[in-house]
Amino acid sequence: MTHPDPSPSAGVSLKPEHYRSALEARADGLWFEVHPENYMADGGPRLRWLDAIRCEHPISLHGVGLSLGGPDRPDQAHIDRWKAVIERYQPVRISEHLAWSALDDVWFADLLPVPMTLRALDRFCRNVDIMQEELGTQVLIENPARYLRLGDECDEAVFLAETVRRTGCGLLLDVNNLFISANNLGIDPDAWLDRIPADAVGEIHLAGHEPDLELGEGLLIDTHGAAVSDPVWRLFDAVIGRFGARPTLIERDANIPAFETLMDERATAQRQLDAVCEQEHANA
Amino acid sequence: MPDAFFAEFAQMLRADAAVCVGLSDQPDGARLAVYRNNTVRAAIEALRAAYPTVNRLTGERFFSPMAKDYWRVSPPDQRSLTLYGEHFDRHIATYSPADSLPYLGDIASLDRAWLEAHHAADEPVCRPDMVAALAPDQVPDLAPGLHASVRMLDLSWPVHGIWDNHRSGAPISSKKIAAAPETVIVWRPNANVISSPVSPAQADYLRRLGAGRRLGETSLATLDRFPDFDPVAAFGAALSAGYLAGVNHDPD
Repeated sequence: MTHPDPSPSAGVSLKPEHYRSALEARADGLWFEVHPENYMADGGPRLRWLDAIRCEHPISLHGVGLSLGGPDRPDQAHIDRWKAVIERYQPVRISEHLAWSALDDVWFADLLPVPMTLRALDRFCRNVDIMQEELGTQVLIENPARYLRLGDECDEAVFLAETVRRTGCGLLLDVNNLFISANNLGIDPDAWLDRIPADAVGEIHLAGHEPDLELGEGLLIDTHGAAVSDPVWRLFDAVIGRFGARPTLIERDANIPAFETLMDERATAQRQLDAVCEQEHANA
Repeated sequence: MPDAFFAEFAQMLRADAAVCVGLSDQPDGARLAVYRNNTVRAAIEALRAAYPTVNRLTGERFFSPMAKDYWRVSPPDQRSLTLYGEHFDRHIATYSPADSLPYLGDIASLDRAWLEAHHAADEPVCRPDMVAALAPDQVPDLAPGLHASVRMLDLSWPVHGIWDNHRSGAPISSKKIAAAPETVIVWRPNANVISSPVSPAQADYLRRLGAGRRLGETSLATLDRFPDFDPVAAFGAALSAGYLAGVNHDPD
């Protein structure tokens, strides 16, 4: 008996405090995502935990250190470490960001803003090409959470769509980032989604944000330190209603709650994905 | 936008004021501050995670500005924060607000050794049965080397006990101690990092083995410096503790 392709399912960010729960968790289609940068050590228990979890669940790798949006070519030593992590964990997907994070051998450990200029686009596409060629696989590129406009010459969605067209990369649509950028810069999410090539979206991220301590709701910060907010859930519903269901991650990097709390959010995402899949089947 | 943008933005991240001179349309300082705060906080929190005993002894409020001060002079040069903070112990030793806790640098060295041992390459240790399988006359020619996780520290203060207590969550004591040298070995023979003070003779013996010397010549050299040294006992202790790397003895 053959099965159709499994429906896109929801996953959870894997945190060290949840290793044992993650290893023992059982849920249809459950997968986990990690930052490869956290698994670039020579050895140790952290790597072995991920070995064990990888035997039970698919893993995706979400990089934060290649600085693809920066002025320089991707750091070869870092690409080599990426290769070792891919070789060891055989991820189902890999992704990076429309951002920069390093300059002159200093790493800033943050996703810094890229000016949306034609020159930056050329450079970014060159770097995405290099990453895909070196790693021998398609990379999904995530839209940033934006706090600033930087003398932009083109629209962010156009920048991303053009990157897809030139490099053949996919997109990681971070719904929380889209919501934040819409709030902070006045971007229209519908118009943004209109410009994104639907087929390129290979993964979705959902996370929590918090208002800036100084500017309040006028400046939302992508903290990954809170539950997914109601308006982000609604935007997620609109995104998958428009593009179809995609593998969806509950992302959390700060104020880490109990594993069960993240699994509850995952179940909510899964229900929304299932509803869209059922609708698609009904329409087919 | 010119390439100067990146250099100017980077300069803003490392400065105290959220002003980016290269931006024609100067944005709100609070918006630039988001990036600066993220960058600084990531480094501080990485150091706090890497130096939990220092953080516990000093308290978070003291630790944060000390960590920020380190980040200013030694920002991450790798694309991962896992092993960030290699020279934090030296920085602490010169950080004048910490003068009242003169052994804090040594505590930091121990936290660092723990971190490095924890993330060191996984490799089998040399076990007693591996050596027992060899002909007795082969043993002096073995050069097992130290296990990849072994870190040996020469401290100026005898703080291993204090560090070990705080690391395991014991209540903080303000016991006064006198400066005196102490050598400590930190290693991970399997999943868990272990540490122990070692005698000067043992330390001499292990360092020679770590440099790739053979057991026979090492025993003689250490005996030469420490006439009371017992090489058989030291080798037995190193084997049972798991300080040594696997034996690749060529029968030819």
